[in-house]
Amino acid sequence: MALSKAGERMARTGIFISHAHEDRDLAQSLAALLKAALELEAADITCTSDAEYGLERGADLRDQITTRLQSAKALFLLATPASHTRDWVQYECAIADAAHADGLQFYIVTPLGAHREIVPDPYVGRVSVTLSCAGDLHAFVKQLRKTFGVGTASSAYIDPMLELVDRAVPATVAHQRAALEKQAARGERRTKIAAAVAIACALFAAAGAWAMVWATGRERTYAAEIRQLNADHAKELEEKDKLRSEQLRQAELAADEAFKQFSFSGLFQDSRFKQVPCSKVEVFVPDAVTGGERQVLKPCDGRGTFIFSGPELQVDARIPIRLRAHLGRPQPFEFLVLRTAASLPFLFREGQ
Amino acid sequence: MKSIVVAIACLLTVSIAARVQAQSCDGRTEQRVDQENYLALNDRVYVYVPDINSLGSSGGWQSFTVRVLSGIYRKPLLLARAYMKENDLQSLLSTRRDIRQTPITVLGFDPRKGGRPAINASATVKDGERAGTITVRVTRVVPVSKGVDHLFVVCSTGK
Repeated sequence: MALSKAGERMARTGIFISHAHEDRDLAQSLAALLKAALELEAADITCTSDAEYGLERGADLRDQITTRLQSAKALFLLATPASHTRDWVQYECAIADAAHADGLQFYIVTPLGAHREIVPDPYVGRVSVTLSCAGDLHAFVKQLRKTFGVGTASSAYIDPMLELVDRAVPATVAHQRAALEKQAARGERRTKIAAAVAIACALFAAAGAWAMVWATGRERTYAAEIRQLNADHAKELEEKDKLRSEQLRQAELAADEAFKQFSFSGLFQDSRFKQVPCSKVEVFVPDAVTGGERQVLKPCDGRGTFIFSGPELQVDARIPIRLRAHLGRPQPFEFLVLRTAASLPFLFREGQ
Repeated sequence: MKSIVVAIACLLTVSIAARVQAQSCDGRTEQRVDQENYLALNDRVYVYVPDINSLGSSGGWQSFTVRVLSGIYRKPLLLARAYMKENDLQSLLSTRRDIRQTPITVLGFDPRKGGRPAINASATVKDGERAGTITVRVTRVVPVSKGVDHLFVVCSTGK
């Protein structure tokens, strides 16, 4: 029971149709159906977009809506895509919801089957009536008539009901078409996005593949260059090593040759440093060809000295030679001489 | 004063040379010889290592022959350590009959076949015209896959 301004409880009698202005045709048809079905007077119906069931001109809109809802027995929310976001609709529904315990019935009617998309969030769970479905609507009307205590067996509401169905069906079709177009547009957009992504991926993959091929090619080229450089370097080192080895061998041979050029001369003195005459001197040198010894004979000169040139001996001065001196004695005097370490003249005592 | 300094320097030089000589043939000190190189162990005995055929990266090698060169009355070669190809060495030694060659055969080793390398091959040669002998022993072979293969020898003196 609602309270009057004096605080007395008022009997709820009218109905309130909450809707968006864009849906006024549908709202008027609904009002006509409810008027006929519930056998109401025009004054019992509030439908803000219809002059017949509308609000008083000049009065405060919010006060009128509040007053009408306080005296209404039922609120019919005409849920459409247009009403889904309307502030006034939200406001009216909030009042109706709050007054539900006070006897205000709250019905959701919709021309469409898509309940979730058009019913405001707080009322999504409520059962709605689809206006485009004649059977559903008829059952709802019969239920309403029972709720409102309409006992007469009248069929006067059939025509308004069919008219309401006729108006709801195009709205449904339009909504479904819009939904389909939206879905198609979404699908097209998805297709375009997918195509763009696919093209981008293909380009990226192609770029990646090209970069990989390029990098691999570069790497192979570098690897081949490095291998070639290594091979060239190794070959160069090998050549240098060979050259170094050959140069060292040549140096050794040159040293050998230099040591072979050493001339060898001497004289013989006794312990009193008096020169001892000699007739000849024999030198036995290692023979590189035969492996044995080669004899080189040289007579002493008139002063008792002897001299061998390097080419005469043809032996390395670092190799000792055997020397046999004939000094006018029965036995020749024989000894080893290492020319690089020899100290000339040789000293020997008489009788040695 | 100047002559005293020179004399002391000469004495130090002789002392250091003698110590180095003693260390190099002390029977303990390992001396590294790279492949295709020779090394003087003293002023009469040299060792020459030919090209070592290492078995890739496995750490093995094929058998080869190290040559101990000993000279009578003189150094077998001019330098104390140098690189020389084996054919150059042989060519040079063919003209030097006073240089003796004593081979040390180092057996090959393949780690893939297992076991341990059996080296410790040695040779003993006369120390030139001197009374003693020099024993040269190959202690280790170090094959290097990307580098210079080399080995280590230890020499010791004997009577």
